[in-house]
Amino acid sequence: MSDSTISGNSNIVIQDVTDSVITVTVNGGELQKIQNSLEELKGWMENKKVQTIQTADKIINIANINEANFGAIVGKKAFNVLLTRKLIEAIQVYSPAAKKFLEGTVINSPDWETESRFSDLAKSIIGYSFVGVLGIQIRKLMAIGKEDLTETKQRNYLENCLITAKRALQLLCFAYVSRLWDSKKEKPFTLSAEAFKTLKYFFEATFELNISEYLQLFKTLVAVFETNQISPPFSEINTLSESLLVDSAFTKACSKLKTISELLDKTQESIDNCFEAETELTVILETLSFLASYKMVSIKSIDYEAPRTTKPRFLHKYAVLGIDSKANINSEKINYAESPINTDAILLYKGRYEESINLFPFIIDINALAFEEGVKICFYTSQDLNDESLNYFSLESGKVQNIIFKNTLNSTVDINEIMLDTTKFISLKIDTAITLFQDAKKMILDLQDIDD
Amino acid sequence: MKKYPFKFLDAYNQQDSEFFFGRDEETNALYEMVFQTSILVIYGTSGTGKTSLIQCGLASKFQSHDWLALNIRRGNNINLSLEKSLNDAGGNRIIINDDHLENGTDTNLTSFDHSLRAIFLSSFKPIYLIFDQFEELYILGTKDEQKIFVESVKQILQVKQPVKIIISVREEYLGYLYEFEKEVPQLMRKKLRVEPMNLDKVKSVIKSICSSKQSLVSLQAGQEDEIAKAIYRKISGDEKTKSIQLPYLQVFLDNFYLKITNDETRQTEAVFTLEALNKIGNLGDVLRNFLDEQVITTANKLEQKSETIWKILKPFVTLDGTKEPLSIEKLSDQLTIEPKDIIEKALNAFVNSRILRFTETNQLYEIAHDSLAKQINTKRSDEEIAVLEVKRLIKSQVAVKNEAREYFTEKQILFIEPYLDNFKPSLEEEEWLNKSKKLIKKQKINKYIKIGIGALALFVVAVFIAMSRYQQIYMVKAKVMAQVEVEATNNLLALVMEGRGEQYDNQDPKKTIEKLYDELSTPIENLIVYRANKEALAGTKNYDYLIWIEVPSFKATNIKEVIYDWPCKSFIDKNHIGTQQSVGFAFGYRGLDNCPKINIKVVLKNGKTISKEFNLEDYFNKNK
Repeated sequence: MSDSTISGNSNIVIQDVTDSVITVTVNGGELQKIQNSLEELKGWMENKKVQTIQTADKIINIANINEANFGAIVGKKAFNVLLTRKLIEAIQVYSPAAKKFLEGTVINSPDWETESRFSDLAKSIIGYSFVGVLGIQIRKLMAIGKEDLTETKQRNYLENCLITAKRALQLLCFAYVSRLWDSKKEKPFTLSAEAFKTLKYFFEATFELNISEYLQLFKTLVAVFETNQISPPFSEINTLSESLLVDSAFTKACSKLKTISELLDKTQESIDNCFEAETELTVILETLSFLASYKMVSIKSIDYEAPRTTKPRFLHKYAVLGIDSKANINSEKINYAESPINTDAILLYKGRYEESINLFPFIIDINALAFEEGVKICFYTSQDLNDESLNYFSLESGKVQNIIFKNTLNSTVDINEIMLDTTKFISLKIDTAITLFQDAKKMILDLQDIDD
Repeated sequence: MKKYPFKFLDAYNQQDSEFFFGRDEETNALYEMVFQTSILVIYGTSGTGKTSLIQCGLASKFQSHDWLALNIRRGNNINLSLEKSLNDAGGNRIIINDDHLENGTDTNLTSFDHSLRAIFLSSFKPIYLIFDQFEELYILGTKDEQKIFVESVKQILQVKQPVKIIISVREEYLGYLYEFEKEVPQLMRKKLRVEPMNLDKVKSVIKSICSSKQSLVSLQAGQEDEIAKAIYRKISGDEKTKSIQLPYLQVFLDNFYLKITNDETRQTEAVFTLEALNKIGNLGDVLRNFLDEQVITTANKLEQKSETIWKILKPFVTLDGTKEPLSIEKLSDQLTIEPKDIIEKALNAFVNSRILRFTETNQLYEIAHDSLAKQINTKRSDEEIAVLEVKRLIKSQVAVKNEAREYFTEKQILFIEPYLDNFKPSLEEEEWLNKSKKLIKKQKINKYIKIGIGALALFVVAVFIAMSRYQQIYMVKAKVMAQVEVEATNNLLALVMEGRGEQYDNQDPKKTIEKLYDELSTPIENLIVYRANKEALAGTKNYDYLIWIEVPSFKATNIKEVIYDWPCKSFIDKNHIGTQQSVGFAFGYRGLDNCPKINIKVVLKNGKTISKEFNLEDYFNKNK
């Protein structure tokens, strides 16, 4: 799409774009204003007998501009402008950095989102503020937004908008399922037939649920919690619940994203879909902006210390999840606590992580299971049809990772032998993840009797 | 559109992924590792494809938004290259300081915090700093350069942005990372060895490349296995090695293609057949042949001797046979080739023939691959090697900071000087050489001055002693004169002189005094009397021999030792030393025979030696 030379005698450079006007310079001097529409721009260029126009560092032939890409090319519409503006405003309640940014850094720059020095900073604040796993996804969207416009970029952007929305919904659902599992252990109750069906589908799906299906799962879980008076994992959901679930912008956004994902499947996507997807994702993340007050950690290991003269204590070694998750030897943090904690836990919390929701085994850190430094966060997606192994989606690599039950700890093996062999120990940990997943399924769906 | 699939001596990059085969296992392992550490090391012998593994294998595993690779080579200085690379990626962009937005302000922010943050903000991609051919830091870099780099790595590992460091190094230099690892303990926690390719892998690579739909080259159908195997054998030659270096494979395949197509533009489709392969016979060492051919071609083209062209190539190779990147200015400084434009023309020819690479960013030329550098190194004469050793010696000495730098020793200068006409040291090196020479000269003068002062002091002491003795004697004389009539005076003089030699015995006190006066004013060499004695040993044929010197007792104190040198063959111990003044520095031995003539050296305490050839035979004849 880019040409290397400017045709005609004039050098036309776009200087500024507003909703109604495109301001250009002609040959580095004369400023001219054109109505912001493709038709007007084409007509004006024909008059000037020029074929190319420069915007930022790109020189574009007018023949390559159409209605679909006009907004993106002339800079009227840039990727992530809306997302950045809306999200930083939404998270300012939860993020002091966002609040300081809006009330200080850009106080005198009302159109700050069009200036990269401000918008880049805002994007960074959003990425670092949003709860770990979503921060990583938002970072990816920001990165794609910065790339040169190509068909690959469009597709990548769309895919990642959909993934981000889906991971956000998954995070909600996993938190609810975890809490439900714990609640049913303490106080058993029977699910309604509809809830049973939806949750069974979640546990047994051989393809990853789509956005609509996750939304349905979420609605079901909220209803189960309300019916059985279980306190939800996110206190903020209580106040949001109605606006979230009843014909809301949130549910509409999910539906629209589902439609876009179908276009993507048929490779019928266009640049306009990117902006639509950005708009819908913005709605979803704005609604879930309270997640900016949450943090996530992966428990890497737990040590026990009990000196003769003092009370026993536990050393929780954990890694914080997010864009800047480090894999250095000294990057892990240690908490000296009086109580133990679940091994290999992925904790979602606000304030103290001792009061957290353990998302394991719905979200796992493959590196923690393999005794490795650094984090490799994977979201549960589906069961494998053939062997009932579990499929996880790796956030870092964007690829599906399959984990298989190997029955490492069986009657013929001594557990001490397993502990001394790293490969076997890793295998045991993976077995545990799968077993826990099945335990959750049995407990939530009341399947114990059937299996037994 | 089909593409030429071979890379010659270049590394595979992301755009070549359709032709990159045989490294799936390593690529996957590496991909796992980057999520398990922030710094890792890839090592392997030269020509195993480390660079391709990173730039093509690993890079292709990432989506574009998850991978921002900054490939950094040492250039002239790794720290400057790192800085430049970061700046080129937007690291020096002015960004809004957001410290105040976080919890408090961190006052310990480093320049890396700023530059990596600026790069991150301009791309939002995780940054991968890839240090390729890291051994250059140890081959060509200084201790200071190494130290600064390690500090930089420590700082980079602490920045808030997602940054990872990948270091690629030849395995023979792995040990050099010891100090680095001490400072950065996680350095070697994750490391990957890139193994050379064996027959099976090479076969699979050739077959995979040639069966790619995108490839201009294919293998004759039905003979794929045989052709691939035959190519391997051609490269490994008679040596039944279990692996081959990939540059050899690449150069061979390129050669083979050119032989079949004669198309230097490499746009013609080609089918590799067993028949064509057999026709080209055994190519021997493909790299060496390729290099020789190119040098001859370049020499003919430029109407120069081959030796001149080799001279231009050789400075690009270190004494260890590795690459040394050079600018044309630096190269020209090292060479005495006229006209100077020959150098530039030869460099351009080598760039065209892909023996050299030119990097625009730092304006440096370098040999395309270490395997070629190794070949060039074998062309060096002993003298050229000596010159390089001298250059290395000078460089390593001058590389140390001024305050810690040591001067060249006299021995080093003697080694360096004969070769100084063969190359031009830098100004700093020349200055340091001159300073060293001046220092040595100064030290020598100081030494002579010290010796002189010592000798003078000895002389003054000797004079003082002589004077004080003379004074004593004078007093004795005065006393004697005063009490000449008193027998007791004579007795006293006799007493003083008792045991000081028979020449003083039973002498007139007046004569004794006069003799003493004479002796004190006469040089010692005129006073020494050489003596010997030979006594038959009863019942045997042996004799007891004794040799000594006689010297007035007042002078004997100036003697340090007497060396008796026996030049006869029958004497195993040639030198014997007498040090006892009380026995006239005597030496005695028992034996059948003696040397007719022996050399006696009287070593004085002032360092002077008085030599005398002592004719024993004459002496014994005269003193029977």
